[in-house]
Amino acid sequence: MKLRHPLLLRWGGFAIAMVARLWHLTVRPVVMSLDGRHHPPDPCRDRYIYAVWHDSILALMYLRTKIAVMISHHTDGELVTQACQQLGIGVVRGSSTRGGAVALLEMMERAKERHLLVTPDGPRGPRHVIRPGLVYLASVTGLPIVLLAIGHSRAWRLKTWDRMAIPWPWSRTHGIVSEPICIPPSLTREEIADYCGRIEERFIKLTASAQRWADAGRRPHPAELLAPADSPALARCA
Amino acid sequence: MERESLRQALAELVEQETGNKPGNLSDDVILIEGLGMDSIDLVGLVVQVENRFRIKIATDELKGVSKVGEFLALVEKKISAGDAETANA
Repeated sequence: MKLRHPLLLRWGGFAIAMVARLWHLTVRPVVMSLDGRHHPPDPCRDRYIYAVWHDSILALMYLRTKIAVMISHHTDGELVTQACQQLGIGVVRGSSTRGGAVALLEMMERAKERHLLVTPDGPRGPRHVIRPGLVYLASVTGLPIVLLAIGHSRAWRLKTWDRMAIPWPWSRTHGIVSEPICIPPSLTREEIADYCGRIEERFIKLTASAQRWADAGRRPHPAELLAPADSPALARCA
Repeated sequence: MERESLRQALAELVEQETGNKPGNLSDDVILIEGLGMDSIDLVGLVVQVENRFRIKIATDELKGVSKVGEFLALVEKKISAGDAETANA
């Protein structure tokens, strides 16, 4: 059954937001930031585009700051939108498959005062494959990309395309926050695709490290996870 | 600016953005599918149109626009509004 009545959607969103808040009070986040800074910083000072795989979108609960997230126009997206609004998260409706151009323009506008959160493999996958919107947004706004790689000590996996993770109550969520990645302006389509490939490779490696950390409990040394300084793969921000 | 000269200018900008000359730019052609563009191309096109005609298109104004004719009508409206402002200044 799909919820379509505005009042039901509003109450549904409120209920989801409340359950999510209570649920996350029981989940312990353990975070390592590779640039040694606290993330997210005050958006009046520094702003970033945070990227999280679609299966880990619940990590959004930990980002208590002014942030805008893009949510698709599908009916279930309306319920998620209502929940996000209850949680004080700015929502931009659209996706690469529907309303994408308007959503990109709105995200560019919001980037002047908020952080952005992007699920680069959303809204329909393929899972853990980066689509060009993330790199394009970073290139036109000048905001660095920060990857949020998530691992769970214990989680249910839904039977959806993204295998969405729902952490068990009283489990631990391990997050590795990448160093900021700067994307130059005025990229060609080929350059955007090239950056997507490099970022995807880095993101998959960091996600695997976060999951190993969650499984084994041994905290990795940040030096093991940093991209080599002389690596041609990705330009670190100054 | 007349609709047909505007259509000609749009054809040039689409070609610059996508690298392909658009075949059919009639009013009822769907902007994205009909012109072989994706959302990134369309954002680029909007920015180019803004720069070329010195107008500013708000994202809300683009929400109901899906066809070439609707886009041209919006651009015409913005250009006329800009001309009226200049005349009043």
